[in-house]
Amino acid sequence: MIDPAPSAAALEVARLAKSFDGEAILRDVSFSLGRGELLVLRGESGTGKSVLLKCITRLIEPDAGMVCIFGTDAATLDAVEVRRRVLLVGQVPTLYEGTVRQNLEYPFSFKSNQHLPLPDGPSLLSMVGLSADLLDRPAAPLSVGQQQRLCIARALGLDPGILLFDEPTAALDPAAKVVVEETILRLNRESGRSILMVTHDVEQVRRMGARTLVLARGMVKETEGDAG
Amino acid sequence: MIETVYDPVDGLVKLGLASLLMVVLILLSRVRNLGIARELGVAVVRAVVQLMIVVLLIAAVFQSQNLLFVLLILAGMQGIAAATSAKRVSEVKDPLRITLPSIAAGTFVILVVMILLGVMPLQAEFLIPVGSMVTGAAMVTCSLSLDRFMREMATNRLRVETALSLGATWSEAVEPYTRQGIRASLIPSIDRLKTLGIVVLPGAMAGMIIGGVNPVWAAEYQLIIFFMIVGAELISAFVATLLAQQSVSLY
Repeated sequence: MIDPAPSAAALEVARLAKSFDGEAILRDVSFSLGRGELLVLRGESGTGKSVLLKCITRLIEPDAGMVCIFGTDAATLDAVEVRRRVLLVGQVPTLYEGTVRQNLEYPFSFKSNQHLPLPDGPSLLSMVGLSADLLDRPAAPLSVGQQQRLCIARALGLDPGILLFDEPTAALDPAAKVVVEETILRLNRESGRSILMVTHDVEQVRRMGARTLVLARGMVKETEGDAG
Repeated sequence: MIETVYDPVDGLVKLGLASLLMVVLILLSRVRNLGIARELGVAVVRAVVQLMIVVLLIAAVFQSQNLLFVLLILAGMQGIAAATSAKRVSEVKDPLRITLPSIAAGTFVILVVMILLGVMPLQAEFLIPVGSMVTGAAMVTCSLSLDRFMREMATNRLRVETALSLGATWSEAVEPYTRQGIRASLIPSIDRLKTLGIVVLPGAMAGMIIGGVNPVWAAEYQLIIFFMIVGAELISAFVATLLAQQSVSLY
């Protein structure tokens, strides 16, 4: 893909607003995610973190504001195309019936992904610290931590420009939490992916050691400084 | 054996005697305090009154052989069936927009095809009873497919959302649940077809045999009706789930 604006930020969110039944969830959200940056967005439960990620990926259409992906206004793109460029990994590991391999290949059954080469299962699994031996085993009996890493591997198979993580460790035990955090840090460090991760966990924010924004009352309120 | 020549007095006497059975059942349920005596009584009276009114109406239409009246009766059936089915999918906004076209498509496509093929004559005596059977079947399938589809969507909300996040279009993301809805709604019919004649003699065939018709002819007609019913059911379920998937959203 030709990058239309090589100097633009990976993601630029400007004055984004969204209300449900008259209640403003997002009021005026603006921030940017640099190329190759890991950005953490912290917010208490119910502050609209998930809604923000869904507005960015156009799973939910925002009421106002603009989202630019590598310099292109997301509103000018087809919603499916937006989601191919900005991939959201959810809070609860969500897998489909079948083996680990079938789950990795599942997105390639969709028309929008059919032109892409099928993913290299073993290397995807190794990127998230899973053994290639799992490939032909059913996905359902994996531990929740392994399932979440499989979800990340599945997302990586589509080679998205930007990865969004919606509380990726919320459903995990402490040990699995650390493994997933390390996987995200490694992805950012080694493959230079632009990553936006949202969390409510202050300790996790500290462990990630990345630039952090806080979402409160529908606005990105403060920057807690670069931790780099 | 019932006479093929109708004697109104004899018919009323026999109906009266059969009604005594219902009276006994109502009395029994009252004695045993089952709490259904009143409801059963009202249901019996409603059944008799409704059927008599419909029979008088149908008899008049048979007499006139006016196809416009036939169409009006069939259209009325579609409306009532659609309203009944719509009550099953209250979570969808304006469910009549889904149930009415689904049931009507199932009924009319099959009726028209059968008429064009020459399988069914363009006569009120055939169109009304067969049309009512087909409408009833399409209504049940419409309700079942929508009910199952909505339940699958509720259960698999995260899967739909994940599929969308992975690049699926809306129809690709919900397609497995549409399929479940259609498949589940057709299970009763497929089972009925599998056991046709073995477990029970189907209603239309039993009625024709009681009425003195050659059993082979009765069986042929029963099969035709069954195939029409399954065809209408499939169309109804297909249209219902297609319209439902366009009417629901995740948020």
